[in-house]
Amino acid sequence: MPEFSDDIFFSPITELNAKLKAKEFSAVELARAFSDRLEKLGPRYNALALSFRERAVRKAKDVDGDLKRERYRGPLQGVPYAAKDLLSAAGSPTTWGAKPYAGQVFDYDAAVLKRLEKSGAILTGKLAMVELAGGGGYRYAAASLTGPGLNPWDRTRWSGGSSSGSGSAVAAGLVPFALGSETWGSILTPAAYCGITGLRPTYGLVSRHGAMALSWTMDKIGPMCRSAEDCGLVLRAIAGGDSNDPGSAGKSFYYAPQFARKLPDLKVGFAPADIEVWAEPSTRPAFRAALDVLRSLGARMVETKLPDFPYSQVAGTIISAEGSAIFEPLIRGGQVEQLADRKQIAGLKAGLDIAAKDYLKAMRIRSLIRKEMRKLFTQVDVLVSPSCFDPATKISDPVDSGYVPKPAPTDRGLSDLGAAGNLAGLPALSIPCGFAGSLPVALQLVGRPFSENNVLALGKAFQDRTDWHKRRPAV
Amino acid sequence: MVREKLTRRQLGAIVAAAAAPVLSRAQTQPSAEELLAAEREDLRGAIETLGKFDLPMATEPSFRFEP
Repeated sequence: MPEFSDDIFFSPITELNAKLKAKEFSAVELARAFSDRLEKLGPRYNALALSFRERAVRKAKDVDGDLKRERYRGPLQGVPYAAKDLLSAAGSPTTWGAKPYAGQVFDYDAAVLKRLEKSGAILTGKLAMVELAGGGGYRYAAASLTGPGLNPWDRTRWSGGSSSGSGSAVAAGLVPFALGSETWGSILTPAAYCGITGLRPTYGLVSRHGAMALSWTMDKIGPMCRSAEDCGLVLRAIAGGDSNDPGSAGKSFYYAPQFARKLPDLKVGFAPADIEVWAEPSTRPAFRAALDVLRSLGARMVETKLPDFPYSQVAGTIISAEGSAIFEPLIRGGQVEQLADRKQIAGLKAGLDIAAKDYLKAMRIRSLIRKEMRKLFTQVDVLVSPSCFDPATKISDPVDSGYVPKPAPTDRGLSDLGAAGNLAGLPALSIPCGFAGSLPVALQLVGRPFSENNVLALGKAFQDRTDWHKRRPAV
Repeated sequence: MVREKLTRRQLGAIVAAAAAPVLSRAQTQPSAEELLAAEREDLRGAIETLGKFDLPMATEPSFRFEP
């Protein structure tokens, strides 16, 4: 077996695929090398839920057969990856990160795994997550069957949630890419904390069949990778209509950054208050420099702010009502008490009390939010704001213990973009844009529904100009 | 290895000292009922905020959600 260097473990997807085609190593050798690394280092970050070594090697043998016959299936062929443990994989435990589901086994693969299988990608394992994707609201990073997600940049810090293992595993070079999911912040937060690139696709673009449901109207599945380009390649493989997902938009996605709007034609909305008021002070120089890079690329920067809505309350009410309805049998049956986080237990129970009229009120306000966001996107093409206003929190601290500006800011800027973007189902790309001390910080680029090519093109242009996404933690 | 015979009183003091931090942590942690009450209060606050929002009567909820 050839010696695999760190350069291989941190290679972009296209490079790995090119080396496979050039027969520098076989798909079996690559799958074994990544499996070794995932099994050895995954537990160091509490990132590994389950290794799929045997399944991976079996699939890799098929890929090697295809490559030998020059049957090429695209850039993911032979490239290993791992999936958040809320996606079912036939015959293996799918725990949803929660003790009550530790023995749960499905007899089918989630739609996204099937799509990646077709593209020739090789599933090497399932990755750790916050229990039940944190639907009840959790207080500590330890809210997981596998313990707190540890950040490869500093193991005393959290890797973010709920796609904790996906964030850590990509950052530490344990997989070239991973799948995560987001209801409200679960791709963007770990991507930002771990210094990787994460894409939350438009609601309905990627099938959720075979994924744990937390909120039927807000759940999305997306790629977590090393670069915007890699996100585009993975999204192309996993996007597409699916009659098994009632939320499916029935649309496909073709990654074509060359046909995206040219940067000088792009109006990028930003709010100075996001950086000068909301962001934790140590992160501000990195964010200011990142906006300068966007300006230097020729994008037209336009000051803007979100329309005035109670975004957090709307999102919180909807997720709580839908999540508690989904997990009602768990709550009523008492198994909810087996969850690791006491706040999460209480939150799930409390959600059962939400009255229909209040849920409907939240959904009605959401209709107005969508309408107003559409209006905002007639003035700008992309919104840019910090993905998170703080670097990764300490493992021992409550997850909501981040920086709180005092006195309370009067200018809300785009500070509610996370809630607003998820409520309106908008695509968002988180790209690393610097460091605060030893910890990565990131920008989110948010676009109109189904404008993934625009946000990916802007992200790629930023990454062509900077090298933050190429930085590696000492693993 | 040094074996030292402890009196019952000394043993009690050691056990009590070892348990003290655990007990004090348990005392500072809210009970399950208190946590549930706090969560309900948070939700009540959120719903109160939604209640204050002036909503046109014709606004329909996003049942079949499309972005």
